[in-house]
This record gives sequence, C-alpha cells and structure tokens, in this order.
Amino acid sequence: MSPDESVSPREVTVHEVTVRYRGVPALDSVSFTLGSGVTGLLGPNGAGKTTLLRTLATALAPDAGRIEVLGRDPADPAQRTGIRRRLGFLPQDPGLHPHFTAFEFVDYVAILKEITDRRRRHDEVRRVLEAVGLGAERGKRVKALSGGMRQRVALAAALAGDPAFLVLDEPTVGLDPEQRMRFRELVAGLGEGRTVLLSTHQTEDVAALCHRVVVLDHGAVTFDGEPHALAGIARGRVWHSAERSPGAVAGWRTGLGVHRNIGTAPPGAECVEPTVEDGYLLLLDLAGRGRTGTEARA
Amino acid sequence: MTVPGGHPTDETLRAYAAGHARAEELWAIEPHLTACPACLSRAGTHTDPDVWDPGRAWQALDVAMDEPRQGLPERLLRRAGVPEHASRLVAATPALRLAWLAAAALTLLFAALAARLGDPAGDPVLFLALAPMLPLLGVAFSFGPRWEPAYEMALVAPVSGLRVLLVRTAVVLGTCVALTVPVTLALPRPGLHALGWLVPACALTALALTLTARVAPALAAGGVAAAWCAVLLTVSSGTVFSAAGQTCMLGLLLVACLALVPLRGGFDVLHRRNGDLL
Amino acid sequence: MNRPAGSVRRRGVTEERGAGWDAGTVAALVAGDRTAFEAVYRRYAPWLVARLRYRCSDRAVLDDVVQETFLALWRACDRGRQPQVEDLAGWLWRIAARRLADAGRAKGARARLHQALGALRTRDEPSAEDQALLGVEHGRLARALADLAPELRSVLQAMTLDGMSVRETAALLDLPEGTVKTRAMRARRHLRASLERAAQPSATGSTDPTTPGRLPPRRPTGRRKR
Repeated sequence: MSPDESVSPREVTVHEVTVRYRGVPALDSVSFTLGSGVTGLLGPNGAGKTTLLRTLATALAPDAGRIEVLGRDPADPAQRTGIRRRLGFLPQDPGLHPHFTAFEFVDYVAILKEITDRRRRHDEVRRVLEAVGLGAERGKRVKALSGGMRQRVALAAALAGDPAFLVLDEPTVGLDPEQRMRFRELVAGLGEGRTVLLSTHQTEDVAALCHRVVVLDHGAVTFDGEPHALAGIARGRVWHSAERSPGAVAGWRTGLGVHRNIGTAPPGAECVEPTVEDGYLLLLDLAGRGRTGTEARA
Repeated sequence: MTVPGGHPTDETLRAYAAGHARAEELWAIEPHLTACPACLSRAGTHTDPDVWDPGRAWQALDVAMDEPRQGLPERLLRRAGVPEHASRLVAATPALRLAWLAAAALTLLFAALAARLGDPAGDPVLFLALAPMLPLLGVAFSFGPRWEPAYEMALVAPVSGLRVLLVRTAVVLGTCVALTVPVTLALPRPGLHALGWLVPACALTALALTLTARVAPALAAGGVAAAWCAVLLTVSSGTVFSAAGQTCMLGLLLVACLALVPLRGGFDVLHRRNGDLL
Repeated sequence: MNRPAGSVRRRGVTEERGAGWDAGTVAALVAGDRTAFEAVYRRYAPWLVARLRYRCSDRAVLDDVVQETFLALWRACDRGRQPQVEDLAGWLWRIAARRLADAGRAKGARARLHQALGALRTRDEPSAEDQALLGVEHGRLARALADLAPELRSVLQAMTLDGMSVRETAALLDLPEGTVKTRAMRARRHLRASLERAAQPSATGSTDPTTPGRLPPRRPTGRRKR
C-alpha cells in the first residue's frame, strides 16, 4: 500500500472539464469539488449529468480540463487503476446478466474488482447483498427479479469492495414510490465516510438525502450549495392563490385545490415557505430555459 | 406403540429420533414417516441438538448454496489449472452459449462434407477459409457495449478490459480449435495439410483483438473477416495455405500481438465514436 | 383401535399428503426463495438426520450427506424442476441413500467410473414383493425380522426399506455384489418361511416381540471405510 493510499483523501475535484460529442460540448468548462457525504446532481434530461458521471467514474476521458479523484489523476493509467480500486459506479441503465443469480452477478463484478480469494469474495458478496436487503433473494435469477430488486442488485455490485467514492446515475428512475423510499434509506446510509455523487431529477431525493446539491444545465453548473440554499432562491417568490397567477413562471394546482405559483409575487400575495423543487424550477427558468413548471410536473 | 389412527406415539418418535429404535422397529416407523409429514415434523422436534445442531448445519448449507454452478467450459478450465476467478469471467461470456457452438460446429461440418463430396482431389478451400473466421465471432461477442450487459460497470473495474477480452477470446479460440480438429478428419485428405487453418485462425483473432482497441468489437471482427475473404479471392488459395503464406500469417500474428501492448489503454475507456455511447 | 403402523402407510399418504405444502411455498421454492427453502430444511433435515443415524455412525459423513441432499434439492429447484412435493420425504431419502452409498464407496478413479456407469443404468423400482413386505402387519413382520440373522437383515433393510440398488447396498455394506444378491435371496426366503410359520396358529409365540432386542441398535453401515 502506497503512503498515498493510507492518507486516503476523500475529495473529488473537477476543474474546467469539457467533453464534446462530435464537436458539440456536453460539458462546458465544469468546475466543482466534492467532499464526504451525499451530493446531489440535479438537472433536466440532456443537461450532461450522465456524461459528467461517466467522466468522474473514469469511463470517459475529458477533452479539456483536469479531474482529481481521491488524490489521483485518471488520465494516468496507473493512477486510474488506483481510482478504480476504490470506486463504485452504478450506471444509469445497469445491465445485469439475466441467467445469473443475484449472487453470481455480484460475484462476477467482485472478480472484476480484483477480489480473487474466493472465500473472502463470497463473504463480501453476501455482505453487500444483505446491505441492500436482498439476503433472501440472492439465489434468484436476475431475470426473475422485479425492477426495484435489479436496481438493488446493481447497487450491491457497485458497493462490493467497499468503495470510497460512489457514483450513482439516476438510481431511482423507474421505481415505484415504496421502492424509491427503500432506495433512499439505503443511499442515506452510504454517505457516512464515503463520497457519494447521486444524479437524479427528483428534487425530493435531493431534499431527503443530500447535504449538498449541484445543478447542471446545458453542460454548465448553475448552482452549487446546500439544498436549503437552492430552496432559498425561491424565498418570497412562492405563493398560493385561488387561480394560476399570470405573472408566475411556474404554477400548478395542488391537491388541496389551491394554486402554487413560483415567480415574482404580485403585491398582496401571501408567500409560503419554498421547497428545493421551487428553487430548482426557478433556477432553470432564470437560466433562460422557459420550461414551465406544469411541464416539469407532468 | 401406535395411537388410534395409526400414528406413532410421541414416546416412539422420541426413541426413534434418539437412535434407540430396534432394527425391526424401523420397518414400521420409517415408511410411516416418509408418508406422513405431520409425524415427520414431530419426529424432527425430538432430534438431539447435541448430536446435530440445525442452526450450524443451516449456516454451512446456506454458504454452500451460494456456490455458483459451473458450466462445462468452466469446469474444463478449472481442471486445466486456471484459477477460479479467471474461469468465472468465462462463465459470463455470451459467445459460449450452446446454440452458438452448435451452429459453429454444424457450419464446419457442412463445409468439410461439401469439400469431400465436391472435389475429393482438390483442396478443401471453403473449409480452410471458414475455419479461421469462427474465433472472430468470439472477439466480436465477448466483451463490448452491445454484448456485455454490465459493460459500463465492468469497464470501470480495476481489472483491465483487455484482460477480460483476452481470457474470453482465448477460451473461444480454444473451443473453436477443439471443434475444428475433429471435423478436419472428415476432410477428403486429412493430414498436416488440412491443419492449414490453425495459424490463420490465431492471426485473424489477434488482429481483430488489436483493432478492438480503436473500433467496436463487431466492426473489428467484421473488418478482419472481410479482409480475409478479399485476400482469399484475390490471391490463389494455394499461396495462402502454402509454407510462405503460413509464414506471412505467423508474422501477422506476431505484429498484432506486439501492437496490443501500446494500444492496451484503449480497452479501458469508452470511445465516443464507435457507438459505445448510446 | 390400535392399527399397526405398517398397514396405515397408504392411508397416511392420502390423509397427510401435501400438509403444509401450499402452492405459494412450492412457487417460492422453485423461484429460489431462501426463506421458503430454510423452512423446508428446518422441517425435513432433523428427520433425515435421525434416519441416517441408523445407517451411518460417522458424524462427518452424516453431515455431508445431509448437506449434499439438500443442495441437490436446491439445485433441482434452481433448474426450474419442481421437486416431487407430493412425496418430498421419499425424494430426499432417495438422494440421501445414494449419497450414503457413494460415501461408502472407495474413493478414487475406479469408484468414479462405477458411478458414471451406474448413472447410465435405470434405477430398479422396488419390487412388488418388497412392497408387499412393507404392507405386512407389523407385529408379524417384526417377529420375523427379529428372527433373521443380522447380516441378512441389514441387506434386506438397505434394499427394501431404503430402496437401494444391489450396487448401492454392496457399497454401503462393503460387500461384493454377488454376496448382496445371495444374502438378499436368503433373507427373503427366511422371512417368507417365518411369516408362513407365523400364519399357522401352532407356530405363534415362537418369538416374543417384546423381548428387548439388541440395544443400542445395530448400524449396518460400511464402517470400515477410510
């Protein structure tokens, strides 16, 4: 073990990173720093979230800029392997071998993570499957598992080897509310002593899980701070009214029959406490997207 | 020793579970227990935990049940001394499915039979041309974004993509050789000459592997196969399978292997152009 | 009413069949559900241990046989094969008996070859005569069995009660197959004779079934292995 490894820096630094696809930038000079705990990455579809996550997971080399993950430079092959030894990556659409059992699949990924000793590896596989609540299902074939269970199998595979840096790309997509809740509980526990980057377009995930949030829009960082600061953007600009206010940039009818409006409040309107979602929607609008809240809601 | 209704008493079952039943008593108790789940459960409750601890036994079984089942290629590799973790990588190879192997074997057999029926005196050109291309399918289907379901996870794992690809390709190549050698016996003139496919097979495989560092695996394999066919059509097949031709192929094999060294980094990241990014 | 257990066998099957085996458990088993499997294990393993103890004194071999048997059940479920839940105890016992015989067999290539060849042969179904034997009223059968020489009884037990083939019996008892065949023949002849004698009123009481038998029970196992 190198002395470098024993210090085990937890920081992940992204410095003016640009990634282009056929000349079009998917990430445009993105900079931020991640520390210990769960950081949320919010952004509409096509904002470049997946590209950023792939770059951080060392799957993609940036065209410009510098990345440092846990004190190592992924551009150098030896250091990249060093990063990969301490990395857990849950891709957006993790494919699983359908004819494998849950145990066999995680075991396979654990082999790719260089856990060669069979007994130690099997113990580790049991541990991570237990951690994601699939202890009793580990003998089942992947093809016989529900979507939520598959997602948890993939998370277990990402967790094998106890990575210090965890990259999760939209893990809650396609899960029903109950499954999403379970998944959230799981991820919340993972932030302790680890650097976790969670990409999502669910503001509820961010509000529930993250101590920090980065908003990515059109390949650029438009917000970087605590979730309540993101909500704070909309402070004094969210109000309830009997009808949708024409001056609002976003507004929708809530279940209680009142309209929630976000934007510049008309005089006399009674403002309510903003949520992360309010702040996020307002931010996207301020960035000149012109996406309406009703659309985002639908 | 029985209660009304024919079930053994608790006392009988206790004695049985404790190992105290007489040999001739077994003849009454055991057939009944096999047929009567209720009495079987009752008998089980009397088993002495000092003799047999169900908790500990279950733990051992629980672990044993996790042991992955090994397919034939994997078992053969283990026999040959390949470490367990390496042979497990092979178990996840899509190209080692039975249907695929059966199709390959049949194709070869038909080519050999065609040679035999067509021109018993001439060279089995079709067979010699076809056999080296089979392992190319192994390269194409072994490890790529299209064929490896967990490709992205595997790519960012510390084990290099080249290593996974090499292990799998080697096994597919070995399997193809094992399939082709017996088919060779069906050729009109079996003998050393009929083994002319072996060196080209290795050379084409190595070439396709090397190209995979830059382009998608299917494209690399397809390109090499097309080039091989073009060479066979332009140069006379006699030249290709002559000593000089074989030497050329051997040279190609060496060059391709050497080129893998500087190109190996290409197996470890996604490529932006070749469809890795969907 | 004090019916002998032997004759209750068939009735027991119809009455108790599938007790505790609802469709849900079966489906869970086939789907590879570990909780369901553990429930089955907790229920059947103690019985299997008890039964094997009469045939195997080596604790390590016994543990192995039990584990192997349930692993076979797990693998069968995994292959999508629904084990015969109607007669799970019988299914498990057949596996266990085979494993026990394998364990009794000498280790080495020769044994493995025999095993491979044996797998090609179809298994002998219990003969009608053996079936009839198990149906005999227990008191009479017990007396007749107690009369039997121990070495004959152990052969008969392995073949009739445990449903083993000649080869498996030979392996289990560490005897040549020819000996097993002759002993089985002699055992059946003796048994038939003593049952016939018992059927004649004058012959009853020749042996007292309540006489304490040889205790602790004999274990007709191939104990000389290793």
